[in-house]
Amino acid sequence: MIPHAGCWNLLGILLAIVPLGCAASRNARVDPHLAYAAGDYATAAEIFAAQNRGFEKDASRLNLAMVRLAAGEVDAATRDLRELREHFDTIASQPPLASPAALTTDDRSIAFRLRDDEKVVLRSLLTLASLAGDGIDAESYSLQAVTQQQRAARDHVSPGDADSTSPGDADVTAPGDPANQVALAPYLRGLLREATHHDYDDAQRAYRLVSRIEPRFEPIQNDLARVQSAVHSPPGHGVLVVISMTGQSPRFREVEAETTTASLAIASSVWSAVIHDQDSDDDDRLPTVLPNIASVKIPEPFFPPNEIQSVGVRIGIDRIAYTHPVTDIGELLIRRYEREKPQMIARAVLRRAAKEAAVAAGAKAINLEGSAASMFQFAAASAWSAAEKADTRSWSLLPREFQVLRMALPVGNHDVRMAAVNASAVELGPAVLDRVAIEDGRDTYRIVVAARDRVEIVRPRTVPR
Amino acid sequence: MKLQRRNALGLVFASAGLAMTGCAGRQYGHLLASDDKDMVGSHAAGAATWNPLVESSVAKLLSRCPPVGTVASFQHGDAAMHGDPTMTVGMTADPAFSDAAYAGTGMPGSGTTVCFVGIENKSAEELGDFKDQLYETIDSKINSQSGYRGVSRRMVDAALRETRLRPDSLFLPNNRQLFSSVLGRQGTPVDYLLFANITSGTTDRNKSSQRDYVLTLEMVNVHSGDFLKESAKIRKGYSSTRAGKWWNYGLFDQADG
Repeated sequence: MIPHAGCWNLLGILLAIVPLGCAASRNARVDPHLAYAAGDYATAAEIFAAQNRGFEKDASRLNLAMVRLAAGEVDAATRDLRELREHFDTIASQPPLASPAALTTDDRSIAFRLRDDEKVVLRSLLTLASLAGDGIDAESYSLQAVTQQQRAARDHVSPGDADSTSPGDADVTAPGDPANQVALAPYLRGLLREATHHDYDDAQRAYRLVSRIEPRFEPIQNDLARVQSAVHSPPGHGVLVVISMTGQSPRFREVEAETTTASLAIASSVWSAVIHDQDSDDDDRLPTVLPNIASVKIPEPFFPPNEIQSVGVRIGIDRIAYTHPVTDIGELLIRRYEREKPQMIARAVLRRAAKEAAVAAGAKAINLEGSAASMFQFAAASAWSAAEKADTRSWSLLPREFQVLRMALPVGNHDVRMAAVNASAVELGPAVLDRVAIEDGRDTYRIVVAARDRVEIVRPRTVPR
Repeated sequence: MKLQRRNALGLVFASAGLAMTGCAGRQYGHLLASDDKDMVGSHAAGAATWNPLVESSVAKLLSRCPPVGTVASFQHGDAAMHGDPTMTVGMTADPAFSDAAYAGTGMPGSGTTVCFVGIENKSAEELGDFKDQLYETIDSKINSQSGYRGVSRRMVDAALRETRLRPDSLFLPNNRQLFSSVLGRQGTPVDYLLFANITSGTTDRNKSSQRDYVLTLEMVNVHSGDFLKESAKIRKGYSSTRAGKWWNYGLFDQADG
């Protein structure tokens, strides 16, 4: 005998409520973000490697790539980032509003995905990894980052936009909102093109785009003036470029959020589409309006406490300069979160409504009526919803800001001292010393990690696979 | 039980799951045969634009220089067009480029050395990875022409770095002499400097637009400062629908109004 559909519902409910076991690693109590910030890359890598499975897998792989890059495992980090680039290119940037798995469990069952700006950041990190190493592929990666950004801007043009068919001008007159773009990508492109000594036009174009995306980035006016009418560096000089991954990007925690008019409108439109598809004499048909749901669990970003403002770079005894933020990852994330929040709440509302409907159908299937049915529905729906978790996965080891400093220096060896500083230019932690060889007319790059109070230079080292 | 008689949960799953999926899909590649047509870019110039522009402009420029050992005046570009209806070639014939002007200079005699300085992009589009490819293509075409020798790009880069001169400043006689003397010291005396310039002009009409791409090659005689210029043009239309091509450029000449 084939069991009634309601029995299958009950079985589904029970399976969904039963919590899944999880294995604990010996570092389970250690926050890998703190380990990373403290320069304990081995511990951070071990924890992220242990999380490299289940719904956490892809976010952990991204974080692991960051740890490897910081630890100087440039080849391994590049390999990881390239694999992740291919992987995330097969997944749409925006999550579906509703999916079967997410309706029975929670948003963590939706594949983790990178948003458009994060895909640009990923390619920019590949550029940085290349610059930290041999630099051979840096131009290609920087071009990929800029192209990815142009493509995303083009894709976001609404059909009614009058500029939607203007050809090929996504570089300087992109129809997408520049505030949501990553200025680091064109800046790296500009640096690399300027260093060729014959592609000043490309550099100018790239710097103009940076100035449009991040007008607060002060050095860009000097950069623009230089590529318009001067040269890369004076004779007998080369350029030191310090690129700092400064601070820690926001992470997510679970909160109860009240439903909003916008989110309910989105949920209702999906619900109405489902209702419209029902047979009018179906005994199990859904209620025509959404149940009254006041609050749902969603992720909320928070900034880890951090005092670091920039990296102070001292050359010799008397020359000191500071890195400037070219891309504020935290700001991009918060803006994106606010944009996506209504959909996030709508998904949670739909999930809650679907679960309540399923529980009601289950109660009916086992012929429960009256107060017994109400109690069963209340208990089962509450237990099912309580098993939900907000989707707090993120690429959490991204820096709060990407900062840069470009300075022309005479040819020769220079002693460079770098330290994390706060808003008052007071050093927060131990400084790192480096000896930089400047070549005539060439760029020399230093990629540094300054997550909290210390600066770590990415020094490439070979690690066996 | 009727087919439509689905339980509540299944109904939600089916409707929501089918309506909204979140997969961008995979990507596949294939090799093109040599006679396959170049793809026409939907938002910017691509292979179908740049390849014929380079072919045309280089051929015209070099055809104006008389072959080794002959005495001939420069031809006019219109006579050398290859009948491509989408392309027009403009030329600036400089009387200074007569054979008399080369008397005693050895140009453009055997082994005329051409230094391709670079491509300047003044168009509304970023060339992306096309820029370096265009450079190499033009450089290779000049190098493969009998009677001409190219200068290695690495040497050009080294000379630019050593002199700290911008490519656009090489039009000034003093800078030009300094640059060529550096190349000469490296064992590569230069007869010509070659500059490429890409410009565009855009015409918008409602949701459609036309963009004209012009590739200009300019050869400057290092010794005399005389120059020779060639340009080739390709026009492209952009529309939001496939029918835009016929709508704007159809049988009734709609493009003119």
